[in-house]
Amino acid sequence: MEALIQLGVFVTLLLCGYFFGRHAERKHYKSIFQREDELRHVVVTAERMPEPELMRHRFNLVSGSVVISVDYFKVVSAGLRSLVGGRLSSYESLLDRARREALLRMQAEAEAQGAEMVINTKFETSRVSGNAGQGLGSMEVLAYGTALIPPSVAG
Amino acid sequence: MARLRSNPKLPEGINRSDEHPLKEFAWLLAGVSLALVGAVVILSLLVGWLAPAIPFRWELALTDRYEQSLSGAANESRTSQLEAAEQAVKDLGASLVATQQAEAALLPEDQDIRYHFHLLSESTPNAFATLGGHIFVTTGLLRQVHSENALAMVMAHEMAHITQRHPVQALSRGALFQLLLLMVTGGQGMHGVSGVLGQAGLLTVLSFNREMERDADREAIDLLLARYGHLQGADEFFQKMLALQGDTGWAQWAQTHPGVGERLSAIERRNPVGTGEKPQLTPLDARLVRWQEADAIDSEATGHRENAASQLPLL
Repeated sequence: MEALIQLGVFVTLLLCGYFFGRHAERKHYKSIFQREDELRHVVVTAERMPEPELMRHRFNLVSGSVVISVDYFKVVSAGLRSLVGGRLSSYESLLDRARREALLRMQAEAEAQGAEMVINTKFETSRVSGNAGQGLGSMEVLAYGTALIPPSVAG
Repeated sequence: MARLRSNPKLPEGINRSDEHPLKEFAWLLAGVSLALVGAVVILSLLVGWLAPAIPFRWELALTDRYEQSLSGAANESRTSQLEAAEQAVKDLGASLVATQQAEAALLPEDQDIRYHFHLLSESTPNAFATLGGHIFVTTGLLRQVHSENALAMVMAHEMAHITQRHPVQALSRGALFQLLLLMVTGGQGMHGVSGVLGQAGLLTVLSFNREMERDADREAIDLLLARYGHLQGADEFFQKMLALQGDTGWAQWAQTHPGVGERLSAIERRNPVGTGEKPQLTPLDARLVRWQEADAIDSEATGHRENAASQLPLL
């Protein structure tokens, strides 16, 4: 009986992780696609220097930060994968979402200041400690850059 | 060069794959569990083959240290009736051993094997055999039996575990399984994975466990036939279990023991068909009957008798 209960708990956790995680992922991607289209006019580049024509723009630091956590299903799936090696695709989609969400937040911040462009964009990531190596892990993805605001915009 | 006026739309599916996560998961789970189950099966078979070769003396060396503290702790607050009942259990055990000694086919391979019988004050009806030839019968079980045959069946079953060296096999199997799990997961915080693999391996180990119980039942039946010539009354305790907890049926693969129904029919099959007249049951030892009576009065007075259904027998 004990083995059965253990198995039941495990399967329940797994199913919860799968269904909630899957639902959240679908919804998130839908929103990412939509907002990426809306914010296409705030150009993001990794260029270090502004174009000569933008030399008179004001510049400001903008950033976008996201903290994400994996679900139980992804942990188990990735754990099994790490025994045999290969792409950890369950984490890939999660981090892809985090990266794009961080960029979107940075763009939103730039847009709020009237910027037309963000240059020198960089990414950073760090593990949110406290559960390092144990249980479900979470991490932060931070995107930051220099927003270029046209002189016409009052500030 | 004209500057970028709008972010380009990048193609999807480069940084992430569109493959359904369940598909990957199913493949991984099937592959890894199959490998682990295979490894556990091989190890368990090796254990079944090698563990009985561990000298019984080594088991004794392990258990002798605990024996003193055990008997010391057990002796406090025991009534004389309980002492007498324990002696009766020991006597029944000794006569079962004598029967076993008389039958060459029933003799254990290891000549060093000795059996020690104990009575545990514990309300859950249960009996178990552990390392060093120690066999424990609980008072909860004594309450449930009404003939010597039923008690002898339970004790013969536990004796068969010892004869076939099951405790040391179970110990080796468990230790090897834990070691294997630790090796595969690296002993780090891979909780999810050790969860999956633990389940897969545990279910495999349990199937070996059920096989051991069947073997023990088979040998207990042989011993009972040698002693009484029939199996009348041997099923009394199993019938009680069936009435209390029902047959496990579909959930059997997750149990440590085979289904009660299966065990009952194994007894039924081996019971020699009588020539009309039912063989007589051997009554319980007078000391056990006295203990039962004293216990019944005692529990009525204190109202301590727990609901029988709340304590499922384990055996």
